[in-house]
Amino acid sequence: MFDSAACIRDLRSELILAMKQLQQELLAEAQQGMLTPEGRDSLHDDEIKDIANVIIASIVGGAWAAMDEWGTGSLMDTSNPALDDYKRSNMWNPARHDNKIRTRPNAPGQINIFGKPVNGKGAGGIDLEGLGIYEAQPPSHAIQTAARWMDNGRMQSVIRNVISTFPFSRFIITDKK
Amino acid sequence: MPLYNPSADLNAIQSILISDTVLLELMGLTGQQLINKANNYIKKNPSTPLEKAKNLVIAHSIIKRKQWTDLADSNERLCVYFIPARRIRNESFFEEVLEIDCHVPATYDYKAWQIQERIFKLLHKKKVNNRYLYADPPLGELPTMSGFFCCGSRYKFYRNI
Repeated sequence: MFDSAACIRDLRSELILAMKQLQQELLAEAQQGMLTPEGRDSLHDDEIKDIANVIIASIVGGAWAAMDEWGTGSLMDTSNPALDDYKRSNMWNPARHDNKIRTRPNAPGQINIFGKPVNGKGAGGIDLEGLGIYEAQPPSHAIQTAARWMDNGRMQSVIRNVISTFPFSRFIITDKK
Repeated sequence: MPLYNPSADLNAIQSILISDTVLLELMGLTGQQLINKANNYIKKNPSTPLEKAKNLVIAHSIIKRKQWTDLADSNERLCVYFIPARRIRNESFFEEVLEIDCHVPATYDYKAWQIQERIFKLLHKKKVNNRYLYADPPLGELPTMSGFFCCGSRYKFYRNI
């Protein structure tokens, strides 16, 4: 006989441990690839979730991580799928008609990327990159690159290792009759 | 000999890359190209002797850290660095992974792959600092500055502690 319930339970535990290891590797690699210390600090691991037998391990980051990942100002990566939503929100500077970092206008209801109320002076729109006050930053794509390396055989290798070393024989029930 | 010596690993790999004339030629670090780059360096840093300037240009092109946000002009650059080490089942060892990124001006993207091919010949299954290096599957294009192209390769080895 085979104790399949115990086998599945223990295998799931092993797989969760493996996912935790992969999550930590992904987090460490993504943090290493970040170009700014703020972006690095903003990244952290999320709880491992087991929803309907699907094990989910993720890393999450805040606004600093998003800016590091996709870049800022005139050097930002415009292929960011969330960019259009961001531009349509009240977080986007209404005086920013291009991607350059510009001053905000004096208008109510504005919030910055961190969700805090913010206001400017006059009409706004002064090019702060041109004045050398702020520098645009190229995208690091640190999270995407770390995830691609992970997908490039590493994840399969860790899972394969768990399966190949799992003691399936421990769950065979022998009868002494 | 200490077992944990990542700096010696990096130095050994940098030495292998710097001493390979085929690789230097692919990176435009030989002959007249090197002299031109050295002269540009001397313009920015007067009183540097030509020979020293040549060595500095090579040393600045094959570096032991990940740094590409300062790439400018038509410089090729190799960044050799460790990514976070990985745990393996045997706790006496861990897996070290060394990444080598090659940044070239976008118009010379083919050169980056030729450089990686040469690095593969120099490092894959070769004993470096008493450990055998093994190539990992390459990932393809990696992020770099606008106007540049980058591709990377990874080599892993096991370090006992």
